[in-house]
Amino acid sequence: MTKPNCDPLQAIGCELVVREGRSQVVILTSVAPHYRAFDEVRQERLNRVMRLWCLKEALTKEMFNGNEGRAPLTNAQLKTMKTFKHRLYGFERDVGGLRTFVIVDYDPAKKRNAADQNILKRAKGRVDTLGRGK
Amino acid sequence: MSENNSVQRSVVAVEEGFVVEVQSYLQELMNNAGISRSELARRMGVSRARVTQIFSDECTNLTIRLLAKAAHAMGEEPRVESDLTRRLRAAREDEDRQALIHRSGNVVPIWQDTDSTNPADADCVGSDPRLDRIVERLRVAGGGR
Repeated sequence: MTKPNCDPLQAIGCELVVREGRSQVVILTSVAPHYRAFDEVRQERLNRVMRLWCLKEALTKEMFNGNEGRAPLTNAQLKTMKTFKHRLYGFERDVGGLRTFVIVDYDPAKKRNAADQNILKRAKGRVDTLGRGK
Repeated sequence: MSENNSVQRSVVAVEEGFVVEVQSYLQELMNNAGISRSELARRMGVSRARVTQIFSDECTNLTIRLLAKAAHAMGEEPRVESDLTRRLRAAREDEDRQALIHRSGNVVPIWQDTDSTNPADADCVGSDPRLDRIVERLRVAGGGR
């Protein structure tokens, strides 16, 4: 008989990126390597944006978009942390009693200002999957 | 990772982190003042494009003087603070407090009775310098022990 998974992050297939106080930013394990492949400047910018999000400090529209539309099944709001045209898509939920931003997808667009609609759609699908607890 | 790369990465972290911090700070001031970027530009006496540059990823042309000007336009006076300056300020405040206690014979810090090995006491003692100051005033007003 296997033990139930007690780690709330592992249970949803995520790993921790940043934790400050009672908030954290986590990323799908499958997406994490792509984030780590971002260059240093982008990673450091996004890391600080994540810390500020945890601390509930002000974020500019260039750093954060709180409305990228809703996932069709769970109605969860898709949000973006971004810098230099690189985007991390995610949504907010409670994980293990902590306010959590769950990163479900990424877009390393280099020459495009607008969001890629195909990636947006894929991200919303992942939000629905996680939101339903699958 | 070589030591050189490690140092280089730290420099990048500090630089990029600071850009984000400054932009967030100005955004916080704007939110607090309830003003738009256009209004900020008007108050600063610069073009809207100049303000857009401040908030851009590239963050071009954000000089110390421009930062001060932006903060002033929203009724603020920015100060530089870091882990070191916070520690030094806390140490000076602590010195002042100790000197005050030393000078006042009827001031008895109640934390002398606390047990630093007790987690409940440790959480409370020194948790907030303002609390310490209030306690000292109460002690003085009450004539000490």
